Amino acid sequence: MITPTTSVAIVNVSADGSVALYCGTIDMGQGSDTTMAQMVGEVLNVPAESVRVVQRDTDVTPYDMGTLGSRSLFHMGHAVRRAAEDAREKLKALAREVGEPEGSNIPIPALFVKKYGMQAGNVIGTGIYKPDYIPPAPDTGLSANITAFWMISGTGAEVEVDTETGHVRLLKLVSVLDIGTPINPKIVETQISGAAIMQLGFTMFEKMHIDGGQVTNASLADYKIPGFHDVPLTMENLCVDTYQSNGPFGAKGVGEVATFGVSPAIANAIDDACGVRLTELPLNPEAVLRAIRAKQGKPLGNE
Amino acid sequence: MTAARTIHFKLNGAPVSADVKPHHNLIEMLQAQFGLTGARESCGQGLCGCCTVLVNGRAVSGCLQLAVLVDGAEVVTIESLDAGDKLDPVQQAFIEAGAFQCGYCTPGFVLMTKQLLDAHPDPDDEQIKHYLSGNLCRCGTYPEVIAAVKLASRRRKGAPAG
Repeated sequence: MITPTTSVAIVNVSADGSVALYCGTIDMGQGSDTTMAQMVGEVLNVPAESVRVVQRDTDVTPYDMGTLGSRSLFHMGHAVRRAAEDAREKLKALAREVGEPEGSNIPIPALFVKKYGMQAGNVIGTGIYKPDYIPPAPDTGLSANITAFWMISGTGAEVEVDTETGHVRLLKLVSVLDIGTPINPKIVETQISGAAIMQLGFTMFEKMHIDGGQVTNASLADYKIPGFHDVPLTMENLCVDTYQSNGPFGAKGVGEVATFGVSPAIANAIDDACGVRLTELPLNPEAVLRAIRAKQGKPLGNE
Repeated sequence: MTAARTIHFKLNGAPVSADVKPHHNLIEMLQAQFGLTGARESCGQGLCGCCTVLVNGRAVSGCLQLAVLVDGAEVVTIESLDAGDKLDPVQQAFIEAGAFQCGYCTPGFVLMTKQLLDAHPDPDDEQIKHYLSGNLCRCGTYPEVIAAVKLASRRRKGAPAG
């Protein structure tokens, strides 16, 4: 993960009690809008679905380093949590100001009416997150605090190798991850499964052929990505029950965590099946067959 | 011979006409002339299924279908599925099963699933994989799609009018 990086968020509570979240994380399908809204809802005690996540626009939304490296839930998650907490404290101060007793659960719209005599006003909370970081020592390259969190996963693969053709069939793929406490378990499951399947493509067949700087297999006909028949017959996606002590609500990033082990697991399974050790991707039939033939002392030519 | 020609066809149930040139494909026409962007041209080679539309009840790759060929035909796009205030059971099932991430491929998967369930109301895993193998999902939501198809199958059996 890239570190240290900064995320900034703004939570705007309007006089009708509606909440808008301004954050620069791009939801490209990983479900960040949902999880960020859940975190705001948790802090402000409002339904997650009532939190409007404002479309990212540098004219409007505050700074974020980028949506990458499985950093958003951790970094932006903290910024969003802090922005919501800031808004919550300001709402509490407003309640004190208008004479509400400590611990009052006056609805937000009523609070604004009490202050302004009509449905008016806004409370704006801001949150910034930048993790602690110690740069690597120039002489050793070592640091006692190089990253805000570590991404940990393990993968197991079961394969069937056709030694006549080099074709590898994936029978089973098991991913086990430490992702802290999931904010949204369903999203986490889809993220794990999708990441493993995407990595499976890089492992088994995806390879860009470049000629003089030009990609020569630039279409889906010549650059195969995983389809239905490439998915392992059995897939298991599991998380260990953990709490990330420095994460927002015990959570941390998920996106890429299920990718790490896929290639080595499949390569190890191929080695276990037929005794060839492949150290270069993709593990396509040609590579597997070449390795098998080389081991048999009958190497294939180059044409 | 690049003069536009006027064609008449039924689009999502309504009679329409369009001026199309001989080289325009169905997706170009649907997007440019009717503002229908649910079917997307992705690979442009009929390999990914993102541009799936129904022509005379059959799922076709809109990027490979010349627009002039739908003269007199009945064309149905993803936009017609949630007519009124109700989602199609297949759409609802995709949402409940979480069968997408970015959603780019989803219209194609949904239309192909409708045709799958018309042909095989109670498909098994192999039938689903085989039938949907022409649709690609870069986010890798294939396991969730299988779950969505099965959910939609159960729903359709339970409520044939839906």
